[in-house]
Amino acid sequence: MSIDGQYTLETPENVEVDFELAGPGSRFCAMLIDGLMMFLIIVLLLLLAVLANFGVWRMFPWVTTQQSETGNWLNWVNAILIFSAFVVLFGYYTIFELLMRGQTPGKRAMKIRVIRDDGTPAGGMDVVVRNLIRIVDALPGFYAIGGAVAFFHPMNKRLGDLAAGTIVVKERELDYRAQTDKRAVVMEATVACSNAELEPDERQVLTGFLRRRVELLPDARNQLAERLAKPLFEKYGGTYGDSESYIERLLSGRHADDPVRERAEAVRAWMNTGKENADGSGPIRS
Amino acid sequence: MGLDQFVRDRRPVWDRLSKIVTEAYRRGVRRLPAADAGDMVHLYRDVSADLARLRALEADPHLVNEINRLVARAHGQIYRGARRKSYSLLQFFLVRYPRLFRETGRFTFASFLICVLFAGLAYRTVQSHPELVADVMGPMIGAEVRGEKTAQDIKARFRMVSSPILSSAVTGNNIMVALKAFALGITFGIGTVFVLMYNSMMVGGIAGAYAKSGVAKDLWMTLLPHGALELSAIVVAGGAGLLLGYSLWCPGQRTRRRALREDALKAVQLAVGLIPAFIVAGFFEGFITPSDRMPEPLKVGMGVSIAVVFWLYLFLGGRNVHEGDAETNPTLSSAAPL
Repeated sequence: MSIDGQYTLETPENVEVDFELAGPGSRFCAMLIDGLMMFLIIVLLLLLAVLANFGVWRMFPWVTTQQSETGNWLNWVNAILIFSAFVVLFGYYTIFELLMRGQTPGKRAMKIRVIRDDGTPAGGMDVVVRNLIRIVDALPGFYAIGGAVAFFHPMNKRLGDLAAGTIVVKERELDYRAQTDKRAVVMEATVACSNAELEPDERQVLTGFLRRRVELLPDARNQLAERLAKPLFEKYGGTYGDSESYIERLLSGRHADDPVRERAEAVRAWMNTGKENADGSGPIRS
Repeated sequence: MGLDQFVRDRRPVWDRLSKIVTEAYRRGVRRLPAADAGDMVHLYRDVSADLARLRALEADPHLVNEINRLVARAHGQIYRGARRKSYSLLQFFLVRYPRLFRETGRFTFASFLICVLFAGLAYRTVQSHPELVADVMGPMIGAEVRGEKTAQDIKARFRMVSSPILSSAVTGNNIMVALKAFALGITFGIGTVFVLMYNSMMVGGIAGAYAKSGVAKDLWMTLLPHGALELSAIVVAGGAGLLLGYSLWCPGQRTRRRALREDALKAVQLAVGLIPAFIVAGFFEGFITPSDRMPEPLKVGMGVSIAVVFWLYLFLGGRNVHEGDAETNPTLSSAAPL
């Protein structure tokens, strides 16, 4: 089964690993940030050019050296500035993706990264290929071609990604610890989700919701939870509590349980865990 | 063992792997302490097994998701594929590049034919119907092919700005045209053909206009010092784009996707390897072409001989060097741990 926006790869250990593909939204935002960065660098170069060409020495004629000398020196400065502009325009993405291992400042801000189809880091030539083809992806303006291709491609690839064999994936630091601490209660209560009563598609929808809920804005998250939970509550009954907790309990087949008592128990269990691990006595196996 | 207990037990292991992998992404896997790198491989296998187990036990999707992400990140660092043959810069230019050129020579030849054909076409047409060429090429170039030309016109073109500025602007522009010719290959080569057509018609049209005014000799004297190398390099860049386009039309036994990936890797090297040639051509255009101190035959001689050296290098370079290993297919990466 493949869920939208997900790319599954089987490792040599026969374990399936899912990559979350970066969506058009985050890629577009990353592009905007990078575009802004490039714009700022170009503006800086222009500013330098203005400073050099209409510099202070023009205001104090008696300070200037001979006109031709200044002119000579200025020509070289201008030449370097012009060439730098070309380097920025054509090398920005390539240079950053080489230096930052598949990221640009924009991609880092959006927490996405370029990797190869096979899950390994993108190599130097991959990066060069995907960023040269960018010229075509950007045609005829505002990434029309690249955007259209990525929109219809199951793995959100633009032409450059097709040619280089790369994908762009979401990348977040492993944060289960932080998440679980905040939501320890919820998590401990739903560790086993196996309710034979549920229809397969109901289960898939609920699992999908739980998988993606952390990405939703609070309002949207509550609304969605409610829309999912209400009809199921009518069908399966149990104790409703709040929508999200009902979904969690329903998945684990404990929807009849009282959420308040459940919670208290879970908190107690979790606090014990904390104690165990805090003094380092928690078993470590590897 | 209950699932809760399992999760509690394994959490330190996941934390440890997560820490190593984060470090590997931040600093590069090669800069990891040896002990950590070793641990990473072992821990990765263990955590892979944990992931399979968590899935089988249908644990909290959020937890599965996080462990999955951890395994994915570790997998990326461990299975990096067989290292592609990496060349030192010197080796690339001395051996690899000319060989690559000869391997894909027919595309450069095709590019050459397109250029000659359309340059010739524009040259001929401009003699009798300059308006036609002007209309096809647009107003900028159109102005160049209309009316009488004098020897001064062409010389003035290269003296409008100072040498360093002309040199760097021209180099940047040429590199841009070459990279465009390569990148547009992905439009099944159509874009590349268009770029080649436009550039060769421009040169052919302008040359024709000067020939019509009877100052062809002055034109070539001004054009050849830098143009011989510059146009040669553009032709090769066109070859890179055509190679890319051809792999999409006729992928042979490979799938189109695979053909595109493999040939893009060759084509991009062919195109990017031209950058030094463009820098040399840009230097000639900025400093030699407009020079008044050098006699014209010397300038032309230098320009033509550097172009001849360029072609000799492409056809003969790296011929007798024993590389000792066949070209490894870059996309056939056999997965080997570290």
